[in-house]
Amino acid sequence: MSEKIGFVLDIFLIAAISLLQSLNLISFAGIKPNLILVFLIISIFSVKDFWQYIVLVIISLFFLNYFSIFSKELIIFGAIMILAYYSKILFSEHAFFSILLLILFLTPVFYLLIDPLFIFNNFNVFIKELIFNFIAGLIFSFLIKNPF
Amino acid sequence: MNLIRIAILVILIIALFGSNLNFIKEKILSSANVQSEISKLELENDSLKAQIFINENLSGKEIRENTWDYFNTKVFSNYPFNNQSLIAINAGINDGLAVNQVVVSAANILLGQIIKINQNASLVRTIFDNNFNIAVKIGDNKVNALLRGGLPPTLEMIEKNKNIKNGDIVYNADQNFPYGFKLGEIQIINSENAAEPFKKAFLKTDYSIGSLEDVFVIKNFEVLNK
Repeated sequence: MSEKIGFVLDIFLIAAISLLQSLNLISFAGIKPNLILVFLIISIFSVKDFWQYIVLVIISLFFLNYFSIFSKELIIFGAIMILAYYSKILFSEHAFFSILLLILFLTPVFYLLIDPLFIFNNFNVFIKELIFNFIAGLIFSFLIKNPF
Repeated sequence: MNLIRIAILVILIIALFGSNLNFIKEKILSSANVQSEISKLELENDSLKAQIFINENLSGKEIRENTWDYFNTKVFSNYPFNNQSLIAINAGINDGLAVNQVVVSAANILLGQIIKINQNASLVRTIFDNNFNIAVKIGDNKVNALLRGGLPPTLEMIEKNKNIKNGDIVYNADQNFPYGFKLGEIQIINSENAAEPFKKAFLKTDYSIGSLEDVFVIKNFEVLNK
């Protein structure tokens, strides 16, 4: 029962975070942390099975949709996040460190696939986003792993 | 664990819908509203300054009032990642809009250009986007520069011997946008590096892309290079 409630809450959380990101409500000096990437990575280690995770990915894409759901960026984002689920097999023992490693790995991979020049031409912005994502991952995974 | 999820969710919902909760708005977030009003007034003030600047600096004696046909529309979403700075507006082909039309944040304040359109919505590339590059002029001396979009936008190729100072108005000189429309002001000037042949500066705007609610599309400006 508690797991089901947790999953329903995850759905609402994913929807709210995606909306915040697509409405540009969370940004620091104009730079948006990729909170949805962070939260989906955390979900890899908290959902019951692959299908629950797929539901979360689809909901995130639906709410991240800024103009067209079939935009290259969203399709690649969805594909990366689905593939990331299988990292669970590699990192099943140390979820906390796996989450942080995946954030450090997937943030550049995502930009390399959608717009590789962005990393090189705007290295400053990229590094700041990576740091924000890492901090968000640290906070979220600490909170979820250590309830009051 | 679920308690944590609920707590995070409540915080996010407040962040999302906080502006609609009147009691919070009045009691806790009143300073944010005042800030938003100040921001709007600053934009309006900027727009009037830009109009004066255009009137004083345009060649030709005949000054036309209400030259541009502004179409008011709402911003409904932003590109969610950092590699581009795009906004989606809730007007499209059905409202008479078209690709390449110019978008402004207030009268005479250049914001961007429509790059994609469908029946009911349009996608706008803003001056904060990495692919936004236009020719601009700076201040009363009309110093030439190249504006490169980004966070923040930068002004490059400024000749070293030209006299510019912080606060100088940066205005458009690109044929694809109305001449003289203001983009912002110069903020930091990097003139100390002797090795570089040109000066570089940042562009300061009185608004942030996330704070925009209403923008205007100029329907009667024809772009030369489509």
